[in-house]
Amino acid sequence: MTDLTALPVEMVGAGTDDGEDAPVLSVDNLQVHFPTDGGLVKAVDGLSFTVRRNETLGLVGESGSGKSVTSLAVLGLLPKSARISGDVRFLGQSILGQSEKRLRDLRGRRIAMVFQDALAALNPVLTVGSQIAEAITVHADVDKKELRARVFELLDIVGIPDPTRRYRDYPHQYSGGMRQRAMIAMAIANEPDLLIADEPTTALDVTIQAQVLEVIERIQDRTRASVLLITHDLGVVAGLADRVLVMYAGRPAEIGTVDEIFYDPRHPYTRGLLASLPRSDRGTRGERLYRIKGQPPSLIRVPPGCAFHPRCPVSSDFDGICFRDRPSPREITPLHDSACHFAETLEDRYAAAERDERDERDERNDYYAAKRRRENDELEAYQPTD
Amino acid sequence: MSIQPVSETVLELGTEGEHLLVEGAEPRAYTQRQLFRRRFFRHRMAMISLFALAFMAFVCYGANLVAPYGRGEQDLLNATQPPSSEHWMGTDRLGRDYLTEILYAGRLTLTIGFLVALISTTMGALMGAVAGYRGGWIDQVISRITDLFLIVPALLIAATLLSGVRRNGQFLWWDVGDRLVFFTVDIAFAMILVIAFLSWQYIVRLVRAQVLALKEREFVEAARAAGASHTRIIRRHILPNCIGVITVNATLTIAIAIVTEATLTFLGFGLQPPNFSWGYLIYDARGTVGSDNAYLLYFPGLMLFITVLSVNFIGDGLRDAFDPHGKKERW
Repeated sequence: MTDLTALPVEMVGAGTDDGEDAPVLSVDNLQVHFPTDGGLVKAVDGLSFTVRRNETLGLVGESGSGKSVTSLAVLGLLPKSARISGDVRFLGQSILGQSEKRLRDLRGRRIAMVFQDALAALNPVLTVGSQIAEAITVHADVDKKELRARVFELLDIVGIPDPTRRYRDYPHQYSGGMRQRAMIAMAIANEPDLLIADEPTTALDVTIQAQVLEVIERIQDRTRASVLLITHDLGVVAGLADRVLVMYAGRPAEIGTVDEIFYDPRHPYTRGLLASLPRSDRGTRGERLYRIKGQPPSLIRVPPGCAFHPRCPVSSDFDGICFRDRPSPREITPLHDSACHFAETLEDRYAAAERDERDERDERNDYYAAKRRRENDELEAYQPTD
Repeated sequence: MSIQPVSETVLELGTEGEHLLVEGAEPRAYTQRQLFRRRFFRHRMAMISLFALAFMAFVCYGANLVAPYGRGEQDLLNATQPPSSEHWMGTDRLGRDYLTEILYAGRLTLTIGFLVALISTTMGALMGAVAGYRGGWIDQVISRITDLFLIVPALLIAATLLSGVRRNGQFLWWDVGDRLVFFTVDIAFAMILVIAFLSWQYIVRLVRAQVLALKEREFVEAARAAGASHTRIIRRHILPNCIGVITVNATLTIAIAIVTEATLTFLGFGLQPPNFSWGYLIYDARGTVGSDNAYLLYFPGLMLFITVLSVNFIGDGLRDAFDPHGKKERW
């Protein structure tokens, strides 16, 4: 379809000419708001991040924290009703406000997406092979023989057994893991610079998850693609991502390398998420898992100040800074930003909160103990008077 | 009506008698197409009807091969003879073999049915797909035009348009003249256009509704994310998913077109000799009701009845076959 020579030079050459460290994707103060009858839904509110070449950035957050909207914004696929501001740059080129034709050329060729539910994302009436072939023919005129060879190769890369037979199958004849791999094959058909994986393993069981993640990793090594990995599974992030961006209520909470986020979280939300994971390396068997109290906020009425304060165990007192000022991410270490007012002193605050809680618990225990004692005494002192 | 995705691999164990699996044989997984074929072929009425229609088409289009007499061969001495061993359907007022006449007349009837279905379905499906997919003002315009065509008295408009053709070979502002299409001329051609023009509304509505549901499906978004253009999405992803609705409706349109043609011709707005249809034969024999010659009315009527019924049953069979939930045997 598209003749490479007919494309603007800057779009073709951008990936190779730039230095290694130039970001493939940079998002700057992205805001995506949807006007609805109930009010303005601030799906993404002031998000900034970059993805460098061959890097995997994990985008983590609860449902409705704006992860998927961010990925749609990168693809320029947001509905017309969305109010978008900020900047999304792919290889230095702004994506927002780009013409549909230019965007179509980017989609699938330079930026590709792997969807969560492969069964829904594959057309039920077309064979898997023809859908993978289509991913190629959308962007290039390839003759039949070459196309078929390429489809076999792709199926082989993603580890589908017996591709010469299975390419003729329909999606419903594939197992869940195979469908997801077929999706990945479609996404990598044109060797994109950026692969957006929107919860690629959520619908799969754990063993298949591992296989699919391994496929993504292998492909990344092979094509030096960058990956934007959207997930709410911290285990997946730990395994695959280089850096992690934790989102809360459409805002960035914390961004840093995997090690920093997992071993030195500087945001109470991240701490909460990590604490709520079942651990096999600590003796937590039989204990209840930690859970972050409360509910994610409505994106129409996000709490003032820090969006997380109503659920935060270490927020300031009422009228304090957490209720008043919206924290913006600031640097903790060169690769680690946190949007918490108390990012630097988080450890102390947790200790203090724990101390307070312990004191309170002791106080409560003392009170009940005293009460029990009193009741006991009363009972013993009781003399029937008949 | 449409092909639905089946979440698990579809396993069918076959009909009675073959459901006992051979030991060690693994249950076969069928593709949608195979399942469709099985369901359709097991639909007995549809299969009978398919054969009936195929036979009808064969004898009509192959009339020059199978007809017992030549077309228009008159035998005035044997005029209006009731059915006999020489003339299976008797002879008409000019002594022509009625079976032969009916077979030749069937050509035009069937041609009109098929072509109308083809034109109106193509037109309607495209309009419906565009309306449903694009939405907004395009949808508004197409839907309102469709509504308009649904409420106008179609038969009156058709009659008005066609009377112009009959009077002076003028179809609207277009001089039809003796233009040859297939093997039919002017008025038949005009009739095809007019009937097609008046029967595309239903398919627009059906396809539009289907597309409205389909475009929200994730595979459409996935196609967009892969860089596919709107045209490509409609052509490759939306329309193939509507194939059930479209096919079923096309079949039913054949039946409607045949009946409409017969009606128009019977009312005197349609075909006339030398190119005529079953409708014309009925029109021609309208005075024979109650007389000994009523067979002149019944035979073309019977042919019309069989054809329309067959087409309807085939439509039923297709609909059931496209329905993935329909598993039971049907008559």
